[in-house]
Amino acid sequence: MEKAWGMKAGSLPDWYGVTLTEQITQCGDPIKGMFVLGLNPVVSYPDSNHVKRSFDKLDFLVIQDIYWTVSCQYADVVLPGTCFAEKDGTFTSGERRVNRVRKAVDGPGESKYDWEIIGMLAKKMGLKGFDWKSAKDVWDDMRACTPNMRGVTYERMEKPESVHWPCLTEDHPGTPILHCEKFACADGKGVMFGLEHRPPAEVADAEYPFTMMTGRLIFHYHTRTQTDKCEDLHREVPESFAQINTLDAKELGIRQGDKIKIASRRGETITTARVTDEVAPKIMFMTMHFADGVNNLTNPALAPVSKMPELKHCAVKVEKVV
Amino acid sequence: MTKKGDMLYAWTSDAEIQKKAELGGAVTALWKYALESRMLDAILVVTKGVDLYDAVPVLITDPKDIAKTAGSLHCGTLLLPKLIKKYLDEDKTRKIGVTVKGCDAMGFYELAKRKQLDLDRIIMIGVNCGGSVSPVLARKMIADKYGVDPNKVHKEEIDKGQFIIEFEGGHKGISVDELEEHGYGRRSNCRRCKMKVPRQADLACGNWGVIGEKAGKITFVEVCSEKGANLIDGAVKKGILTTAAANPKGLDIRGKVEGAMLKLGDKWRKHDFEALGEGKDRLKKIMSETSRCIKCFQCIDQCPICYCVDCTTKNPAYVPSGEIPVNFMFHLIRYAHIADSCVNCGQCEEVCPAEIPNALFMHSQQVELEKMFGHVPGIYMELPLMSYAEEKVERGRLHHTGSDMIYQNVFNPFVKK
Repeated sequence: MEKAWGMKAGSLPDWYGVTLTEQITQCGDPIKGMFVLGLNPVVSYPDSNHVKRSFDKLDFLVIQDIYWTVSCQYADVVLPGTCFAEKDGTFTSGERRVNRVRKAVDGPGESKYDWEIIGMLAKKMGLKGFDWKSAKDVWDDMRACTPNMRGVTYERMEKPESVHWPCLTEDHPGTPILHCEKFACADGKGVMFGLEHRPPAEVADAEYPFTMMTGRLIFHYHTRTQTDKCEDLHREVPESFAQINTLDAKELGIRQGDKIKIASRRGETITTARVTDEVAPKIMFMTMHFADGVNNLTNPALAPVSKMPELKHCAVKVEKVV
Repeated sequence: MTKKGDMLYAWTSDAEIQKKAELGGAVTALWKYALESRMLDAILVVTKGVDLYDAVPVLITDPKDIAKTAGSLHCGTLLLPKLIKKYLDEDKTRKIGVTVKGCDAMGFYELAKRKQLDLDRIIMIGVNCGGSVSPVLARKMIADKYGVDPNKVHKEEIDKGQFIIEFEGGHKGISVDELEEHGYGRRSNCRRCKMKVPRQADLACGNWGVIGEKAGKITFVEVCSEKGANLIDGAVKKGILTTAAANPKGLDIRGKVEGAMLKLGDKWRKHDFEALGEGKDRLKKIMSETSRCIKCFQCIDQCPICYCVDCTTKNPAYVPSGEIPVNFMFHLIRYAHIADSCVNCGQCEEVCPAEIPNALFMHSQQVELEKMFGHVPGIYMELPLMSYAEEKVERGRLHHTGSDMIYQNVFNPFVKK
């Protein structure tokens, strides 16, 4: 990377940084400034109040997105990027297939391609090697320093099957299935090992007797930055709701469609009750798509190795809003 | 003078068209003449995109560009009438020529009878169509059944019951029957199709009926309207097209080919509809398959029957919002509104991300409704039963709302003036 960006050897860090959730916690100390690209942490990260407090501690926050998001309220600068239909480039799917995306229309107003913004910033920072003329230049740069994708050229992406990485050279066929016949272990066999069950960091108790699970809906993507702009999708699910079991609802005097207040040790949210047997007694479910929704409640406790936050499980209490 | 009902052979004398076009280039020559003579403002045709499997609709206004679009493609699965309604007819004055398959022609009639397109501003040149192949399946079929790299194929055609490919270093044909037995071949709606010669168009063109040494070199033309006859006469007068009376023996052979294709269509209908079961079994099957629906509305968006500004499926009073699996009412509304007029164009199935056999379900209902009520969609300008059923009530309701737009009022059905 140092060579590609015309930097002196040793100028890029040779140590791993911290994960996204840890970065939020480190806002202010030692992290002073942050550049957020296409992300809305105030809605999508656990413990929204914590995220808001953390962003307030930053000296400088830049957010680059295609729409104004809740997180933009905390930014010093918001840079307008372009959406999929407004730019050329590639998408890589979960099956490692790299597909082209082609520009159909110009972006609105002063919006710029993501690579244009990054290239301009890099030049301001005195870096070399950012004189891209097109998305293809960026891709060629990237595959030059990414051995796994080196053989995935724009020409090969013209075919509908395209190419799956790993694809080491331009005549490598690509790898549609990663593990065939044997695993990448010395004896070719997968290694199985047991794990002790570890309970969640926070479980339901007398004070917070419900377990709140979180998830997604097919009608929205992440924090609805894009999907809520779509009339059809907005109409399907315009606002947040919480599922609660029929028995629990009866006990608490909550009826279908009632306003309810849900609180955890970190915050609270007011939403609409959906009384259903789709969730078990003492379990509740909310989706992660809505601002000041379930992530006001969730717990930023981290998994020990992956550092994945415990988004799917926290203890809450619930009452009817009168 | 050419007249409606004439059966002709036609070919072009235009050197540039001869180079690229198939079967004597009659269709391309007619379009070139129509643009040059200002009879039409634009021609909508399908042409090859990035490769043989990519069919792209293009609107041609310069007669010089028309020759580039010549040649047939079987891996295109587009339907043109809805494209014109949605994107090309804003000013309501443009005269457009369109090369159509049977399903396109039927789609034009369905939109026109609902006053969504004006056929007076459209000239259709129909081409015989034995069916089309989905591009993804075509590539897989050529790799698996032909053992040929699909990227190396530069031409494909369906002739004498075979799907034939030409590639670097040879050509190979396999019978469509054999391909379809193995799950390849034409789209399922094409297999069931019985609109092989689109006589609703102004001209119906093809290679069936061209015999002897002329086979493959000139086009058979059935003149289906006065408009079509005028177009032929103009092009002949201009010297771009030559015609001759069709050989009676050729006419006979054309009839036999068409008859064989129709029989095959019947065979597939029997096969597909029987597999759906009957009565409650069929309903169960439809309910189970459609439960995969993710409510993307693509089937409605692409359907040549649907045109409502506000679709009833979007009214939460009928189909509850935010529910997955989608309430079956969503599909019932589609069946109730469309099935009597379904032309089996296959678009709803082609675009479905959940791979629901939508066209099969709709078509299976259309044939039953046709048996019961005798309404035949896609060929005549008669409106379907549905449009008469509630007319009195609808008119009364509309009178109350003060608007004549039936479908803009579905969300506020009881608002009074």
